Amino acid sequence: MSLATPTFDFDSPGLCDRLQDLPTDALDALPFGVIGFDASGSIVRYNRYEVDAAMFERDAVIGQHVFVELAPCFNNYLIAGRFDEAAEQQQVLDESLPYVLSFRMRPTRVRLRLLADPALAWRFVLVLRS
Amino acid sequence: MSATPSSVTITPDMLREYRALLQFIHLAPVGLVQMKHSGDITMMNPMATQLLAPLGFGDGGDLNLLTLFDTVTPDLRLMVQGFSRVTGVLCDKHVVHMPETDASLAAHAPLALGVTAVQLQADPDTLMVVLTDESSAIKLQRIRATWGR
Repeated sequence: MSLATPTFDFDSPGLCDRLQDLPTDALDALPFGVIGFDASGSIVRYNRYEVDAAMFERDAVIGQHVFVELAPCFNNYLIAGRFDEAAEQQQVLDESLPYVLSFRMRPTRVRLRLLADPALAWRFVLVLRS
Repeated sequence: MSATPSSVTITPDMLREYRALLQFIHLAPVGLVQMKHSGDITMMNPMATQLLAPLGFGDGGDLNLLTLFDTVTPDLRLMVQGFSRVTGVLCDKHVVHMPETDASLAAHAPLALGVTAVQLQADPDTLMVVLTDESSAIKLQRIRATWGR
């Protein structure tokens, strides 16, 4: 089965909206990691790129709390705090920032994009590894 | 016959223990960094990333702790260069005052870090660095200074 051709990249506008209902095969074709979660932090979307990069199986990750179980390295004022502030103020969040993941304790330079929209159900952290 | 590393079978219990160990280190409330004498970071936990963020860690520069600290505490590099013992403590909660950050982050960013560096006996080129948030101590000092006026 061939994967769908991605129609957008890491910096494309309007991604929070477009990722909500993107079919799984199209999500898996994207050249960056996608971690989608609901307002409670429960992971609902996790694409193939992130499975391969982080080496966590999708079935094991879905339903986990994004900042407590999957990625405690995001559970700080720089990442989780931005989502909390956006939710409290009912504001759209679309910010990119350089970041260093400590994946298995090894520093790994990435770019993150934080996406949330009070009108949409799911929020996203996108991870672009160089 | 003793097992070679390539013949070791990873059991589910070993994997569970490994993940538990990683989670334990990931949730540590202090920053943990392992670095070479050059300052190049070889291992670190998420809290270290968070504590170093106000210094621009991850913004495109090298992943080098001494380079990062050069602007705020160049004496740390001198301590490392001048340390010649096989093992021992280079500094213990050496206080590093942090630069002011973006206003939106200022409420959460640390005011100062405590830096403890230890030479590891197992590897002469490896240092263990513990970073602690010393914001509370700095705030207390400021309050005491205000009282004294």
